[in-house]
This record gives sequence, C-alpha cells and structure tokens, in this order.
Amino acid sequence: MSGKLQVAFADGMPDALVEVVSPDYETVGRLWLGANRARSVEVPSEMSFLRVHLPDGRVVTLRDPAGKLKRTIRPGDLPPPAKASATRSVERVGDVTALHRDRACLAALELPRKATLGVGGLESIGAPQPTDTLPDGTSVELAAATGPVRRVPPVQPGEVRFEPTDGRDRGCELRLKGPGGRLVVQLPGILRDVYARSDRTADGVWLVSVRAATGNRPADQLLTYLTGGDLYRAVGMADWAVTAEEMVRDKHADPFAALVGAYLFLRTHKLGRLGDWVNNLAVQWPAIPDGKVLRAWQLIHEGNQDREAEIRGLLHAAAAGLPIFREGLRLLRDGLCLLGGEDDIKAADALSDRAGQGLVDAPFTAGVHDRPADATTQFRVACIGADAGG
Amino acid sequence: MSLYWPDDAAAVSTEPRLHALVVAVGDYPYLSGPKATPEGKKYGLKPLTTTIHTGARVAAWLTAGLPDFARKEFTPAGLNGYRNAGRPLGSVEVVYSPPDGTSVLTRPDGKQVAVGPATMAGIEAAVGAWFNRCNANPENVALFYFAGHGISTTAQFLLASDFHAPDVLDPWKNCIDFTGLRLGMRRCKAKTQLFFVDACRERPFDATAQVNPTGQSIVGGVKWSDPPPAATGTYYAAAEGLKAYGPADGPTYFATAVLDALEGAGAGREKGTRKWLVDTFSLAGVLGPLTEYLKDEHGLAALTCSPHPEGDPAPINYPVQGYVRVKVGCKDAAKNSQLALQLTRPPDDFTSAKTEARPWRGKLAPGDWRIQMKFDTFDTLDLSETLLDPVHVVLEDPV
Repeated sequence: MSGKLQVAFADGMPDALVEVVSPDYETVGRLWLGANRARSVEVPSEMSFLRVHLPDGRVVTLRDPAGKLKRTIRPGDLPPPAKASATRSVERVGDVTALHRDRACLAALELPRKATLGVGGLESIGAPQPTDTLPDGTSVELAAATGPVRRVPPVQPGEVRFEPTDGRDRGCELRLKGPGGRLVVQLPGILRDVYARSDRTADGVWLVSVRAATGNRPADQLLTYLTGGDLYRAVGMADWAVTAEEMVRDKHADPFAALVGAYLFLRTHKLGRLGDWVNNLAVQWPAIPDGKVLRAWQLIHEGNQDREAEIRGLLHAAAAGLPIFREGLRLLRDGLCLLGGEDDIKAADALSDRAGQGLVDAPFTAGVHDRPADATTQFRVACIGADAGG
Repeated sequence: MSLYWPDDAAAVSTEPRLHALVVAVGDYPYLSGPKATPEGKKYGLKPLTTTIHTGARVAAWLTAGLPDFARKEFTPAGLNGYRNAGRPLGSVEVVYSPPDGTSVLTRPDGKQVAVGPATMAGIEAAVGAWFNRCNANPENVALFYFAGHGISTTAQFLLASDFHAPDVLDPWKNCIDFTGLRLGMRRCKAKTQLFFVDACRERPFDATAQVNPTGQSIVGGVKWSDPPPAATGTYYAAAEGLKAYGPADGPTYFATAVLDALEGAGAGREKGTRKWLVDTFSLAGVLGPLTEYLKDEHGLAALTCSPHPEGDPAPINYPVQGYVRVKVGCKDAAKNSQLALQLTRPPDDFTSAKTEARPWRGKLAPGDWRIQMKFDTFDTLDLSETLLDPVHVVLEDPV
C-alpha cells in the first residue's frame, strides 16, 4: 500500500543522509536529517525500508516489520561505533583508506560532541608531540590570514596536524614541500581539523594525504558527494544547502558552507535557487574568489549580453587569486575560456600556471608544483570522513 | 573514413540517436622509436597497447546490443552492450592508432572494419562528422571517448598520435585542448553530452610539460551566452604511470569500470517503468567505488577518477540486469585459508570452496543475501547483508 512515510531523527542522532528504498530496491527518496528533525516522502509500499549513511561511512539498513508509516530513529537503533585501530600498519593502498577512516572515528570518539576539534582532550591522554615533517621528509605548514597556524599533537602517529582556525574573511593555504615536489592546497578559513600524513606501501610508493574538516560537517558531506560525482545523494541535501545560504545574511555565518551549497545548485542548473545571496557572497567576502566565480556563472547562465563586462570583471578579479574549491577553479577557467578574448585566455593560462598540476579528485583547489621527473610520491586530498568503503 | 557502424554514412538516422566517437591512441612515433625526434624523446612517453584494447572494447560494447548483431562469438565475453530504446545507437566513429600500425577492427557481428588513424587530422575529421550527426537532432546523445596519453593542469590536454611531428612548427598543434572541445560542444544541439577522458599521465611528461601546454579545441566559435546542454557527464580517469593505467593485453582499468557500470553495476530502478537504468548521475556515483574496487584488486596506488555530471540526470543505458560487485573474506590470512562460502538469495545459491582464491570476488543481484562463512576450526559466521551499493565488502573474522 502506498502512502507518505515520515522519517524522524530523535535527540542524539547525528546528521545523516537517509535513503528510502522500496521493497523492490528502487530508491524513492533521499532525506538529509539531523537530531529532532523529520521529513516525509511518498512511498509505493509501507514495507519500504531505510538506509542511513552514518558519518563514519557505514550504511545501516533499518526495516520495520510492522510497516508503520511514521518511523523515528534513535541512537539505540544504530550499531555501536565502528572499531578503530590507533596503530594500523600500511602495506596495501587500501590500508591508507582504512587508516583515515580509523582516524576519523578516533577523533570523533575522543572529543566531546559540542566541542571544537581542539587539542585539550588529546593532550590530556598523553598523545605524541606535534611535528612539522612527515615520515617521507615532506614539510607541512598552514598559513591563515592571521599568520602561520600552530601545530598540535596528532591523533595518530606520523601525522602533522594543526589547531582549528576561525577565519571568515578569507581562506587558508596548506603548503607541503618534499621529495614529490610542492603541493599547495587552498582551504576554507574555518577549519575544525586539518592534517597531513605520508605512508609507504609495499611497492615503495609514498602516499602523501591531506584531510580537512571545514567548519560545517554537512558542507563536508555535500562537498564529498559533489567531488565524487554522486549527485543523487548531493541533491538529497538540497534543503540543507538552502538553509546554509539563508544563513549568509548573518555576517557571522559560515560563507564557505554557503559556497558549497551554491556549487550544488549551479552544477544541477537549479538557477532559481541561486538568489541575490550569491551576489552578497561576492560583495561581502571579496577575498574569497569563489563568490565572484559563482556570481559570474549565475550571469552567464542568464545569458544577458549586456552583462558581459560585469562577468569579465568578476572573473578577472577572481583570477587574481585561487578559488578555494576545485569546482570554482574549473568554473573560473571555463568562464575565462568562454569569454574568449585575448586577455581572458591570458588570464586563464596564468591561472593554470599558478594552480600547478591539478589533483582532479580533490574537493579543494590543490596543485603540485616543481615535481621531479623521477618522483613516485602520490598526493591525495579529501575531506575528513570521505574515506568510506572497504 | 572512420565510420565503424553503420556501414554506410548515408544510412545514419536523423531521429533521436546516440552518436559516438572513440579515439584510441597507442602509437606515438615521434616520441619513441626510430622516427622519434630529439625534442619528442625528451618527454619519455612510451607507446600504449591498453588504449587500443580500450578503443576496440568500447566500440564493441556500443554495437554488441544491436538487434541484428547475432554473431555473439565476436562479442567480448560478458558484454550485453548498449541498450536504450528511446535513444538507439545512431553511429560509431572510431579513430585508432595501435603501435603495430593495423587499422582493422572486428565488430561483434564479425565484420572487419577499416578505421582511420588517430592523428590530429584524423581526429579533426572524425570530430567534424560526429559533431554534425549529433547536431542534427536536439534529442541526440553525443558520446566522446578518448584513450591515450594526456596531461591535466587546470585544463585537460590529450595527445594525438602525431604529437610533436617534425614537420609541424608548433609542437602543441597535434594535441586536443579537451576543455576547449567540451566548451565548444555547447554549440551542438544534442541535449545530452557524455565525455570520457581515459588519459594516462606519465610523470616525466608532466614534469617537462608544466609550462603552458596548449592544443586545438577543434570545435570553436562558441559564445559565452550559448546555453549549456541540459545534461552533461564528463568522466575523467587520472592514472599516473602505465601500471595504474591498464594491463598491456586488456582495456584500461577506467574503461573496465565504465563498462562494468554501464553493464549494470551502476544501475538503479527507473521511476515508473521499474527497468534497470544507468543515467548520467548514477554512472558518476559508481565510478569512484568501482575504481576503489579495482585499485584494491590490483594493488594500484596511482589510479583515481573524477566524474562530473551536470544539469539534469539523463538516461544512458538500460542494462539487462543490475548487479553489485561483492568482495567477501576475512581480514586474517590464516582464517581466509579455511574459509568456505555459501551465498543465498532464493532461488540463487552459490558456494565457494575453501580452495578458491580469497577474498571471494563476484557479481550478485541487488537484494537481501544470506552469507555463511564456514571454517574448519571456528564457528560459522551467518550474516544477512542488503546489497544495494555498487560495491559491497564483507570482511569478517571469526572469534
């Protein structure tokens, strides 16, 4: 029997995407829910079931044998937190993924739910001391608007970790320099946690990985979906994205989370959802190039020839820096190439030079420079929590 | 002439169809071998064979589902091929430069087809023919697949077979500016546009070529105000080095993932019809997990992918059956050695004896499975697993 299924998260539940699946395995809805929130979706059968995508990457299937159309999910309905190894050794490539997943679990377990990812709790349990160099000899530094960011004790041995940042006006830049060349990563100014580590696999390849958690966990989740091309799940977060955008009316809000929401609407051509607030992003946060890129693309999609000078001005102003998100970098270069003037192409080429050898699967603008021809190091950049799977 | 199917260009329909262009480059004579130029040799690029297998496999997959292609002995094992009643196959254009210089491909119907070389001139001619076919009807689907050497900065460049030819003054002339080509395709009326960039990146080349690579966008004249296609899917592989790119005697790992997804690993139920469907969004969503699966299976560090769908989801393929890639085993190698498996979802019932390779890898239909892991010296693990994601991993150790 078809009907409207209401799904609610009780107090204490983490933010998570819920897929509603019919008995013959059609995904009939995707809902982004948090504690004390409920949403409804039309289902073809009351025997439809739920798949909850937990922050640690696990997917939990929940069925209701009674087929009730009102379901409340409580923390007790979920399995206990995933077991995490604090000392996992790396032999195969997949071990590095598992290591990052362990690390995300350890960080979440060791810190109180409402605290920022600070260092106090870790220092109190006698964690290793901060370091500035990875095992492969790569040095790591993080530059914020206010200057270099202090290193803090790692969660796992062998990582270089930085204290949280809280800069709303501009991004941070993470700089790594070592045998694989220089890796430069643009990051949001608000970071709950950021670290780098290097691991050598059995065939001698060094994997240097960077993981970052921005100021907003749903934004990280959406960014991970967008980067992986998983637009069905990304679209499931559209309501959250609207909320993030509305919050930028408040100057104390997180502009970086709003940018991620805007990239979703631009990617899916839902231009009606890109309201005036995109212009506000460009104007109120002039040192964040992504706002200008988004505003320019909003105008490009509108196709009004009278706005060409405005579009050009926005894109050239953005090209004076580097967008924080890789999506922004791609759109910026595409926009300049579409304008097609000599100065536009020059600006696009200069941007390419400055951005370096791009990491195509990174959520943030990340480029390798001065890479030695014989280097075997592999670089990977992702959000904390993106390492799911087996 | 590089039309792989149909036999006669005049037979190409202007009704809504999928029109494909496959570019497979393995031979780079001016970069290595007796014809190599001193400047070309500096790039350190080697000829490729995996790209040639890829081009042949993609072309074969596109045509394997044609109703009149009955000679299945020529169809690569396990391929059901492209199936979309709303957008049947319209044409397949192939340009192909293998290291051995042959230019004949065997289609799934057994016919030998001579195709043109993947030189810049050959690619430009093929793009022209393909563009015009795609442009003939806004309901068309345009599909572009490139396999060969490439370089990615913030833009993507793809090397034609005659890259760095000695009689060309600009060494970058015989190179595709893929970003420019993709943007240029905004001029094309086809509302659904699919691009697969299956490019091998070699570290010495990347290091040498970091200074301003350029290339030909081939399709120019686009205006910034031209509206974008309603649905675009751009799917990039980024394999660094030959080992990560593909085996010498088979298709690239990326092509393996793409065809696996299209054959059913990326399928979901279509709303209303209940048919299995792979669309631009679902294909993108599964390429990452399938790439991770292949990395794990082959121990590859340097293989990644970047799927980039845009606009609305658009149907690509209606596979015969959706399925899930499954890996089952123990974390502990000693326990793996005594593991026998039984996988049951009535009426399906598979067993795998303990003598078989572990972890067990296979394809199972989506749904609720009972997985029994039996050991000589431990209690049986009896698991209930709901298989819905494209890749499902069960790694459990008995206590």
